[in-house]
Amino acid sequence: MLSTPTAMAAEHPGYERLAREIYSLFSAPAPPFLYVTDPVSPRTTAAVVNSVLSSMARSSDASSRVYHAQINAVACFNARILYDTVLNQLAGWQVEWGAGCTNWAGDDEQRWNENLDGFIHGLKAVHSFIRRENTPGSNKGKSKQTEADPATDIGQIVLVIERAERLPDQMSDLLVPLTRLAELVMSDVPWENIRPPFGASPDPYYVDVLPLNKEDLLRRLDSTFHAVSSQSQHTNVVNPYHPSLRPLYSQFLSVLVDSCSYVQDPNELQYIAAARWPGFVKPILDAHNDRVDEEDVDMDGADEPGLMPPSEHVRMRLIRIFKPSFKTALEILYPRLDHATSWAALNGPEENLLAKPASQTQPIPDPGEVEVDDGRIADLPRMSKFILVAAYLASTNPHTSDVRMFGRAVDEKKRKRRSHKSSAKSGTTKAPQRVLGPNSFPLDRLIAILGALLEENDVDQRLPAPEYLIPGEHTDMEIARVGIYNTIIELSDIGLLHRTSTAEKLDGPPTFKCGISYKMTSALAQQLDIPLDDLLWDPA
Amino acid sequence: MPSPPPSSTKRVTRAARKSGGFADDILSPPPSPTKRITRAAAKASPAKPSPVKASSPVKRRPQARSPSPVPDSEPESRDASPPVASSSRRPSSPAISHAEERIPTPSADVLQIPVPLLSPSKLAPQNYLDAQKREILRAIQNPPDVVDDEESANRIAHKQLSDLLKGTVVRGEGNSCLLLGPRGSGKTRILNQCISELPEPPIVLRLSGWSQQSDRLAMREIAYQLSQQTGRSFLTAAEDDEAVNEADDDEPNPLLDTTNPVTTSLPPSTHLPALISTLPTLSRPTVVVLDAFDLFAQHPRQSLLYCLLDTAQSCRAGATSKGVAVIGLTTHVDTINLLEKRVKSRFSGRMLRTASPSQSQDWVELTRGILCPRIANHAEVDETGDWQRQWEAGVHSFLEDPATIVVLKETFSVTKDVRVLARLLTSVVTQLSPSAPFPTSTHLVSAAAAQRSRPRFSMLHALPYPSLCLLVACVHAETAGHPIFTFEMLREKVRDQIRLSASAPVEVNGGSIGMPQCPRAAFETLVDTKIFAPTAASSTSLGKEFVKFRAEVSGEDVKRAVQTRNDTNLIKWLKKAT
Repeated sequence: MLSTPTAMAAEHPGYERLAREIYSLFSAPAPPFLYVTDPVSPRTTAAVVNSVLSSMARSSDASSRVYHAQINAVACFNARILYDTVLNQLAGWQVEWGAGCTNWAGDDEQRWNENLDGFIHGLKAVHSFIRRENTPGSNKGKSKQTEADPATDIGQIVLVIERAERLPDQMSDLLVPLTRLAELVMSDVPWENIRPPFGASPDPYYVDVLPLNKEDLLRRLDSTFHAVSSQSQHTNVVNPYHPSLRPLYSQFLSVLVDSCSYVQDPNELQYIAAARWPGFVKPILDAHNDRVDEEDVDMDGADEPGLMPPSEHVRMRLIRIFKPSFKTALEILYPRLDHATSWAALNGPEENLLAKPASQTQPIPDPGEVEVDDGRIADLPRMSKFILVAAYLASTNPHTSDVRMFGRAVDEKKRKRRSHKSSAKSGTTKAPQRVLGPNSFPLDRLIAILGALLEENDVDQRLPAPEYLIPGEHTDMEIARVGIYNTIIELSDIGLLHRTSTAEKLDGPPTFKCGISYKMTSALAQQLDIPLDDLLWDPA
Repeated sequence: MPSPPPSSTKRVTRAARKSGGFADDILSPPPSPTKRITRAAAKASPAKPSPVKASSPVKRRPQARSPSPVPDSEPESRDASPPVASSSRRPSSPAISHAEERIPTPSADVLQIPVPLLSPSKLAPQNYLDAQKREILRAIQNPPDVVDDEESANRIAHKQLSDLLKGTVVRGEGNSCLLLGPRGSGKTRILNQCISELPEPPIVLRLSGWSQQSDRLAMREIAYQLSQQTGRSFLTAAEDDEAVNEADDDEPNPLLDTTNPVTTSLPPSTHLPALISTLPTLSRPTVVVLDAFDLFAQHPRQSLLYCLLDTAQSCRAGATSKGVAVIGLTTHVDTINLLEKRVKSRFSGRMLRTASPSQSQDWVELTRGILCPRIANHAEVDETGDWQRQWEAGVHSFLEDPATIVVLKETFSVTKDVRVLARLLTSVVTQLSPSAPFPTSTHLVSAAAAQRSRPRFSMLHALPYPSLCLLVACVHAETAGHPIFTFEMLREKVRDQIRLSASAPVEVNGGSIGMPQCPRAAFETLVDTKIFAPTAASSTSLGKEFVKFRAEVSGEDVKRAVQTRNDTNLIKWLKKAT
């Protein structure tokens, strides 16, 4: 029997409790409104719930069948799409391009998506449609229905709404009727956050899903290996998902889960594992292929030696080699700075790793600090770089500090920074500007700071210009060029500066805001040889 | 389903011991057990016996140890059931009768449960349990009416409402009334009961203020429901009357429909009086049910209410016209004050009140009624009734458990909403499994924790490590006087903290994870789960990391979460003064 709760629970390692709970709730008239919360991996939970419900739809007992429509409140961003999606799914109707993408229309060719009433009429129509589909050939099942309510004759209709937290924003009118009607909602947001005012909706039956612990995670991840390896029919062709590699995979997973211990979402871990595993086993496969090639000389391919699980020694060696790359994988792949295929290609092991003596093999190189390199600053002209650094300074330093920071006094040492100890007596310290975000500044100030920077850092790199006699005259000349203004406009066009005043405003100088981070600025300053931290009013 | 007899045997014995254990719990406190029993018996339902509790362990143990021959025990147990049944018929003096019963019942009770052990071929607890669960869940959806009091508000409301509806249906009166009562007090249920008890099925128009948000929608829905129930089309008739050449909804003009759906598909509201005035002329009497009546009063000019109430008021009993009843259901106590004068003057002013059970004892009874559904129609599964008896004994000991009573009373004192009770019991039922087939108070306690007055952020401790770091950082930001923070602020705090604790690196599961590298992703998780709320709309000129946020969680929540997580580093950091 396919739909026993135990079989169903076995399909979802780690989610046995949820599968059982959903099963036993829906094996009888379920509470009218369920709210499932999973703060960590709502997608997995949704998948589990859906698969439990769809296996209940195939139940042999017609009265306990559950017909469900699964919709995502992100995809169904308005009411009509939601109505159509639900009805099409319940009726098993495929929207086809060739047929004009018509929706399920029932017998009398009606449109159900006009408004909520229409949708409810549509639900009734679908209900009778399902009942008609089922009446021939299906008996009413063992448990006799006492109440003659036709709704229980064919089982229940369930709407599963994922990402339900979107509903109140997009279809606020719809939320209350849906909760009074619909059956199951799931979200990673607590219900308290989307509860409509005045107690309009009944309170749901709460189902909380806690994140998996390590054992469950491992079991869940491990089970996918079987799924993948059973898909490839040729067991004697070596591939990374060969059944005999399964023990190694378990060990690999356990190390991986430990190194990525703060990721709890099984999907994310699966993604990282899938990116790393083929590279991880490649040395073993290489060694195996070599062995096959050697032996191939004197025997034909009929009895090719099977892939043997690697020895304990080899395992430990592989893990030692690859362990540093797990963390790199996490740092790159979890925020999706790169995609799995490209990352795996970049971080693959060398050929025939195992053939080399252990002393020569290095751990897979750690590429070091993740360079969040913005392509926009890679090949900027030198003057643009100066402008950007000046803009950063103008955005983070208070404007009253400019004279002190950039003034060319007689005594260079008089440049004073904000003192840090004065904070204790006044109640709250002001947060430094660098964490509050950039301030806007007028163009004049930018030009002035730029002049100071150029005078300090650029003078000795200029071509000799004997016509300028007064010190600083050359710089004054430079910053007055049209090119500077042009560059500023260009930079604000590509978003490295933000113009905060409107373009059509004529009186007063235009104002800007810096659009690059401290990290990028310090990289630029390093290229220009500017001591950035000395020029900051309140350095980190 | 093949079930290995020996194991199931064990299972049931364990269950039996368990129920005995509860009896121990109850009886063990020294202050005279008899007194306790009498109180419990007086308090407990008159409908149920309490022999299980009376099974004192002293009596039971010798029984269990002594190898009592099988054939003896079975008849004994059968004999034992009659006293149980008789006791259920409300003995005149409960204390005495129980005292008397205590002598026969122990054996009866102990043997009553092991009966199925001795006939292992029939035993399939999984089947029984599943059937029982289904039955209970069904009962939860439609809770039995347990309050026998003739004076209870719901009974009175039921009687008055059915009188009123009968007046409409039989004598063709025009009636209107309001059914007032808190949520979950049975307004809809009473109405449905009354309608189903009517001698002749009327046309029932059901409208809800939540879905029919304007009079036009309401009118359209009325027309639809009328045509469903009478087989005539009212919408088109109304339109023909007015000779409006409006496109009907089955006009195949999808472009027009999608661009301007409401105006093309809805009739103008001027049709409303015409449509409503047809109601008394129909072949059958009409009952109009307005759910969330107060919302209809919010509609401009209250024209729907005006038309309905006017029709109901001016409806004259006679051979030609049939009666109209307008029933409003609402929780809003002062709904009548929302009505305009002209509407109010057409309303009969009749208000019936419903109420939730008023005593916590009613809840206990209700629980019993739900857990032991009266129509237990799983005769095919349970031929002998052994399971039935076991189950009832299990439920009985469940309800005798002081912890159960405490939870029920607590809940009752917080809310009298029966739906909360239904949720609690649903949770209890889903927790039952073949290895622990009977409800216990621990089930109920955990159900109460999950379903009743939940803490706002119950799952904080389950968040990933970097998210928790950010939460701790935001608590520190708040104590430093920055209740509104940016991502950069928190990131800097986390970074500093990790730098400081570099000598004691952050460790999870034995492996050092060092600096959480993905705080941005963690931050966005927190924003997604609405733990952090933005204080201003985001603008394109502001970098993502500088958008200002406010924490929805309090320091207490974070503290609790960190303590649940039991991470030394986080706890230390949280306690650290900024």
